[in-house]
Amino acid sequence: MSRSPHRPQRPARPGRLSSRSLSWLTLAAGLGCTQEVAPDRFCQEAATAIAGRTEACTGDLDLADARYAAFYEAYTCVDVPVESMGEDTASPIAPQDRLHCAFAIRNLPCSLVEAYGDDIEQYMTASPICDTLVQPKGGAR
Amino acid sequence: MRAPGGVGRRWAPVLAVLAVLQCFTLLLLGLGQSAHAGDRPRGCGQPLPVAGSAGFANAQAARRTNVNTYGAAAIVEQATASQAYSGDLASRFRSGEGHFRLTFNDTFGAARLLTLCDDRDPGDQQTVMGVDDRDRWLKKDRLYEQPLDLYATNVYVSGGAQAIGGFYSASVTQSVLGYRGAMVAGQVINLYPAFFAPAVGNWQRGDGVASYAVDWVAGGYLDLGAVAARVGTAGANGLFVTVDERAIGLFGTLSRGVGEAQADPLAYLRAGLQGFSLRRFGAPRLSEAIGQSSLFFRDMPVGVDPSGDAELSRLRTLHLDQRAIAQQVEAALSYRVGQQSGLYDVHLGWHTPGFYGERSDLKGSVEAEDEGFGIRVGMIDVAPRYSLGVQGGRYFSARAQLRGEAITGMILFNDPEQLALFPFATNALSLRLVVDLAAGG
Repeated sequence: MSRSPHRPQRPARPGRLSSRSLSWLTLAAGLGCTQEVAPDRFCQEAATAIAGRTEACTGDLDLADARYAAFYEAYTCVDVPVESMGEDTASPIAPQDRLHCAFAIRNLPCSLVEAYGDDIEQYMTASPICDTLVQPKGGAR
Repeated sequence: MRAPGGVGRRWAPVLAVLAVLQCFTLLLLGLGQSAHAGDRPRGCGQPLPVAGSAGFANAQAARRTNVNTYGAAAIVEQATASQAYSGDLASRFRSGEGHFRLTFNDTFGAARLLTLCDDRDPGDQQTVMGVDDRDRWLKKDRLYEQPLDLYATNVYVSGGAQAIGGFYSASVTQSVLGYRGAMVAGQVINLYPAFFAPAVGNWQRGDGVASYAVDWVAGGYLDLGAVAARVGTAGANGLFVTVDERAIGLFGTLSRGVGEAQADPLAYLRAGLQGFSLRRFGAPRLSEAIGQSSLFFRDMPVGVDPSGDAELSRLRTLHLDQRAIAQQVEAALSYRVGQQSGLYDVHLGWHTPGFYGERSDLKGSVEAEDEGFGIRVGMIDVAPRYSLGVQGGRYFSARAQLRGEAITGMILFNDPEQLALFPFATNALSLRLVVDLAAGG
């Protein structure tokens, strides 16, 4: 039986740095350690992938930024689980598979990027997972 | 003749510094694990990166940049461009003794990757280990974000007569996810392939985010006093040339492919004025007041698109550096040229007098500089770059440097040089250790 990933927080001992303080200390040291993933991260990765592929294929940073902004004008991000819930999970999609949307966009050939142009909706057809990460603004799917 | 045991005594400080670095690493590692003793795992024994994220793409770019930046040719330039060493070493190099330089460079958290991670504490293996590793991960899949670290181990050896001689430089660069406790030991072991790089070959492994690369340069130098040139063959890039003129301080370095590799996108150029001083023009008092000036242009590749069908990003920057103002103050700024052009960073610093060596005449290729301490702090303006997942903003930046007779240690936080190379590496920390020894015994 697997343990819950969300264990109760240990109270800080008097005279000792709390877990949160240590986190900041670690961050301040620039070391960076294991961090949680936000539930809307997969959606953000899709937006970043569109910008990344645009920059890679066109070399145009401004166009990449514009398409990133256009993504958020067209869609609202949806929170999705970052862990699987076991066999009785409500979601049949494993968390790592949620990244397939960004993965597929990042591997689009430049000829398709050129064909899609500024049509963000076309990029979101790269993987069937993409539809599970976003809600179109201004109407139903 | 040097007394027996002299070599051992010279290496003792190096070993001591390595031991301190190892302790420092383990301490930070412990802090990091303690910081996550609550609702997060104590450690990720074997984090498995998942492709598709910006962090994954950044990590792929970072490992190529690491290979290029801390490759053999770059180390030759660093070792020869400054031409300033602390007192005893300067006089020994001037008298024609060989030069041995060892460099370790570590950057922690250069990119952040989404990984699958075991939620359980290390050692708590219970039922799953030894049954089916794939099943083990499938049962506990949960995504976390993990930092990617970049390491570089370099050696540089130069020897011959004062006017003519040869040099050899080699590098072993790595990108590593986890295993921080083995950082120092791993880099020391990497000295072996670095010394025997021509036999090992220009070698790279890593299609994902972890990588291991060996690169080397060998060649000769001609030092006429007023002008010096170094020409070599670079394992990775083909031809390597660096020329420096010493009256004004003009210099240029070019590394690029030849023959079939002529179109190699990793070509590197750095040229301009370095260490200009009025002392050489008969104005020592004015020179002490305004210090030394450097103005140079740099053009280098930053990462490579993994799919290979995209344009290569290049970083082109113009640098202005004024140091040893009133013998103790330094100021630096750089300007990004091309897309997203603009002021990149502004820094002010203080250093102990004599921290930067200064050439007073054209004789000899090296100058003495003192042991001491220098620190510079400032601000760096990171432009938003959504394609890399970078939101942009202004970041505090600092660099501290401590120099002994043979050993120089450096800590860099949000350093402009590092962020220019790895624009996604905000709040990354770098450690650098340089050891200079006279190879004459």
